[in-house]
Amino acid sequence: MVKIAVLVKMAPDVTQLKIDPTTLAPRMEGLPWKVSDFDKNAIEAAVKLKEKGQATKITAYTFNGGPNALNLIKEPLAMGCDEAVVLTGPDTDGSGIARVLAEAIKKDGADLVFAGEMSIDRIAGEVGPRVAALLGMPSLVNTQEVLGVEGGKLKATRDGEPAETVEVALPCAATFNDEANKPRLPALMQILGAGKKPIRQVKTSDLGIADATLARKMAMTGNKAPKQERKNILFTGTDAAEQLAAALKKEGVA
Amino acid sequence: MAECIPTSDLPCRANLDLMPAGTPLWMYALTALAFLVFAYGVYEMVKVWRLGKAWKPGDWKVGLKRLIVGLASHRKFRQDKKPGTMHAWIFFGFVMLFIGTTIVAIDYDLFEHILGSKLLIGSKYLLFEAVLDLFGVVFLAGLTVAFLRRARNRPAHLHDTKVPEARGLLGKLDADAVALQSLFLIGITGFLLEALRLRYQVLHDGITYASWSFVGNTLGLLFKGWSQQQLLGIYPYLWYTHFLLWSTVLAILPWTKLKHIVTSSLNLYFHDPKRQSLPQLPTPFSLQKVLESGTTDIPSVGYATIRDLTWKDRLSLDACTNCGRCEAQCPAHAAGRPLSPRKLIQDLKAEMWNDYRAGNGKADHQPRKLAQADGVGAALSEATLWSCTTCRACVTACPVDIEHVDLITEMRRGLVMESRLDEHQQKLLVNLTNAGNPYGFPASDRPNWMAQLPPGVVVPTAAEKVAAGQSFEYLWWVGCSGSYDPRNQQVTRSIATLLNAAKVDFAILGAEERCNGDPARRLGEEGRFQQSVMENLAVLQKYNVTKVIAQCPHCFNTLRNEYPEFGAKLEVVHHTQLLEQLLEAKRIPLKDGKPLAVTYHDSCYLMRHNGVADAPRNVLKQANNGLPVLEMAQNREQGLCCGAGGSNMWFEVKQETERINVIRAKQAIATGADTVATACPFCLTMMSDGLSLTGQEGKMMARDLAEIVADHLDWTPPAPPAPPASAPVEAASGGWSG
Repeated sequence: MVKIAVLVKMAPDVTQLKIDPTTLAPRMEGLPWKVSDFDKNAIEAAVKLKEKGQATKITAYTFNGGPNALNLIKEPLAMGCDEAVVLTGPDTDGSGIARVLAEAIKKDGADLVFAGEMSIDRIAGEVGPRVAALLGMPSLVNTQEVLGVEGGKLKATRDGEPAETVEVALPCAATFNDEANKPRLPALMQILGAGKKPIRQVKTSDLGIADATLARKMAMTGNKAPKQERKNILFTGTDAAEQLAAALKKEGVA
Repeated sequence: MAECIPTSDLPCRANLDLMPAGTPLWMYALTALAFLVFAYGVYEMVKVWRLGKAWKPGDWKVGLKRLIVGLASHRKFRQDKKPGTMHAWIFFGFVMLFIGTTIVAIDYDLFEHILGSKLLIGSKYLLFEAVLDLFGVVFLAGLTVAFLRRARNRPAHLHDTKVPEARGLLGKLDADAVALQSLFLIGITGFLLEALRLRYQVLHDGITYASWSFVGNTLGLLFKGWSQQQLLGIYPYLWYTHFLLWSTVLAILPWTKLKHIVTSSLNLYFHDPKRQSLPQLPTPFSLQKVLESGTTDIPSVGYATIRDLTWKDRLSLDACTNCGRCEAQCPAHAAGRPLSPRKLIQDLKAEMWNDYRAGNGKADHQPRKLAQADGVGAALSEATLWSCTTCRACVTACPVDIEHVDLITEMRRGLVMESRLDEHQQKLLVNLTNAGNPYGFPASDRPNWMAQLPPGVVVPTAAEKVAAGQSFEYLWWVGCSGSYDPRNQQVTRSIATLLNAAKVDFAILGAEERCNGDPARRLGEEGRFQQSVMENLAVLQKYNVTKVIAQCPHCFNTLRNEYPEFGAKLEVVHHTQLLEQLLEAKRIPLKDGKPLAVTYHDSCYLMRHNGVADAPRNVLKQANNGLPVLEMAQNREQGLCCGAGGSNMWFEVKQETERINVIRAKQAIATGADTVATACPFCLTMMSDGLSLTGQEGKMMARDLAEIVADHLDWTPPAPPAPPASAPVEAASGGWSG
C-alpha cells in the first residue's frame, strides 16, 4: 500500500503573458490559467508507478488555485490521479503554502510526496522541499527517473552526467523538472469524465490552521520586465550590409 | 413441355433438348444446394459485420440511385483508364450474361413448363443470341486483359490478395487466379456448349440461323467432321462441366475475391452520399450537450478495437478488392511512409475475420487493440495512422467508396483517448487550447500582421465596426498561418490590398479569432475541436456574421462543411473564389505585367474536399496576361498533397524515403514553370520548402495567387486617414518571452 501525494499548482499561462509597454508590469487580466508544467512531470512519475503496480493511490493537492481550480484539477485526475484535495485559505507566501499542504497530507497520510521542482510563474522552487521538511521526510531534488519502489525504498536517478542512482527510505519526497519524463496529455473528454473522481474541498480552517499564522512574511513589491526597445532602422541599397556593420560597430555590438 | 420444333423456319432456343432426361432434377437439386451454401456465406458475412457498432442507413432510394448510376457510368473506375476499361468489359459482360442466363431460365421454367410456350423464339431469339455472343466476347476480353495485366507490366500497386475469410485450401490459393480463371472457364465452356449445340442443330435439324450466334458458330468449326453421335456424346460432359463450374463459383463466392460483387455493391448502396459531396468527419458526440448536461459519463470515442467499427465500416472492409488504386494515389505511400490505404483496409479486414474466428463469432469476445507503437501484436502501428495527410486521394480513387480517412481519424481518436501522442502533437493541442493557435503565440499578437500594411490600406476589426455603429458584409477569416507566419503575413497583406482595391465591405475578428479547430479534429482530438467551434461560434454570433471569406482552405472546409452541424449558418467563400467573382465584376483593376510561367498546386482541402479547381485557374489566367496555367502531372482531383494536411504540419513522420513536398516540387519543376501558385498557407510553406530542398532557390518561387494578382493590380491606395483610436497596439515591439 504505497500512497502518493502530488502537489499541484495552478498558475497563469506565462507563454500568453503580455507586458504593459509603459509600466513594464505583466498584464494579468484575461490570462488563462493552467496546471503548472513541472507539476505534470510529478503527476506522470506517480501515475507510472501506479501503472507498474508499485503505488496504490494517488492524491493531488492544490492550494488557492483560483476560481477555476475545481475545473483545472480534473486534468491531473484525467492523467491518472485517484482523488483531489482542493485547499483554500488566506493569501500566503511559500512557507505558508508549504504548511497548508503538509498539514493536509499529514491528515491523509502519504508514503511519497511528489512535486514539480518549481512553478512556471514564480520559479521559487521552495514548496516541495519545505513540505518534505515539515513532514520530516528525506527530500530528493532534480529527480530524473523513478526506477521503482521496492522493499520500502524509492529507487531513482538524479539529474547529472553521469546520473546518480539513489535509494531513499519511505516515506520520502521528490521533486521533478521537465526532463524527468513526458507527461501524458488527456483528451478533453477524458478531462470531463474525470469529474467522476472524488474532489474534496478543504479550508485551511478545517485543518486547524489559524488565518493569522498564514500572514505573509515575504511579499513581492515590484515586478517589471526588462525594457526592450527596437531601433527600427531599415538599411537599403547595395551596401546595406556595410551600413549595418558600421551601425553595429557604432553601438558597440561588434 | 413445349420444345423447339426441329425446323429451320422458326429460330428457337433449344434448352435442355440435348441433355439426358434426368438432367432437370440434378440441375434443380445442385442449383438449390449452391444457393444454400451461398446464402450461408452471406449470412456469415452479415454476422461478422454485425459484431460492429450500430449505424443508421440513409434513404434507400438515394442509395439505389447511387449504386445504379455509379455502376452504369463506371465514373470512379474510369479515373484509372486502362484497368477501368478492363473492369467495365468484365462487369458489363458479366451483367449481360447473367441477364441472358436469367432469361433462359424464365424461358425454360416459366414459358416452357408453366405457360407451354416459348419466349426465345423467332427474331427475338436471334437478337438474344447475337447480343449475348457479343457480350461473351467482351467478358472474355476483359478477363484476358486482367490476366495480361498480372502477367506482364504488373503495376507496383497491384498486390496478391489474401482472403482471410476463407478456410482450408481456398484460403491458400491465389485469390486473383481463383476468381479470374473460374470466370474465364465459365465463359469458354459456355461458348463451346453453344458451338456443339449449333453444330448438332445444323446437322440434325438443318437450321440456317446459326451465324447469328457468331462466336458459337465460328467455334463450331472446331467440330467440323464430327458426327451427330459424337456431338451428342460429348455434349452432356461439357454441359455438366459448365454447370458445375458456375454453381460451384456461386456456392463459394462469399469466400473468394468475387464476393465483391455482393459486398462492393452493398457498400455503394449504403454509402452516405453526403460523405463525398460534403466531406465532414463523423461526429461522435456533442460537446455542448455533454457540458450542458454536466454528465461525467463520457460517450465512447474513437476506434480502439476492430469491434468499435460500425457494421457499415466493417462491410466496407469486405468491399475492398485490394485493387491498389488508393495506394497509387497516396502521398504518404509515395514518400515511403508506413501507410498504404490499401494495406490498411486489407489489414483491418484480416483483423475483423481473425477476431471473428478467434471469438467463435461470440459477441462478448475481447478483441485486441488495433494499433501498437511498434505494430507488434496488433493489426497496425501507430505510425501508420499518423502518416495520413487526410488528403482524400484514396477516397477519391476508390471505386467502391471506402472511407479510409474517416477510419483513420476514428482510430486516431482512439489513440488520443489513450493519450498516445508524441510531444509535438501534445504541444499542438496545448497551444490550441491555451493560445487559440497551433504555434502557441499569444492570442493578442494575432493582428500584428497589420502593422506593416501598405499606407492607405484599411483593415477594420468587427469590434471597431460595431463600435462605430457600422455593419459589414463579409467577415474575413484570416486564420492562424495568415496571422502569425511571417511568409503568409505577406499573403494576408496582399489580400487586404485587393479587398481594399475592390471596395469589399469586410471586417476581421483580430484578437477575437481562434483556430477553427481543423488541426485538433484531424489529429483525432474531437473534444478540443468542438471547444474551438463553440468559442468561435459565440464570437461569430455576437457579430451576426453570415458571410465569411476564408483565406485558408482548412478554415474554409471546416467553417463551410463542419460548423453547420454545430449551429453555424454561414455562407463561406475561399479567397480564390471571391477573387474570381471580383475579377468577373471588374472590381479589381489589372494591368499587364511581366508574364509568368505559372503552375498551380491544388490544395486538397480546396479541390478534393470542396471541388474548387476552376476559380484559382481562372484568377491566375486573368492576372497573368491571359496565359493559362501549366498543369503538373497530377492535378485537380488527382492532385498530390503538399504533405501538411491532417495536422501533419505540426509533427514529424519519421520513416520517409522522400519528403512529400519534394516529390511535389519535382512535379512542379517538370512543368518548366518559374512560379508555383498556391491557395493555401500550408501548401505555400510546404512548396517553398520543397523548392529550396530541390535547389530551386532563385529559379522558381512559390507564391499565393493573391500575391500574383496584387502584383498586377492597377490601383493606388487613397491617402491614409488619421489613424483610428483603436489601431492595433504594440505591433512589432513589446514582445516578451516568458
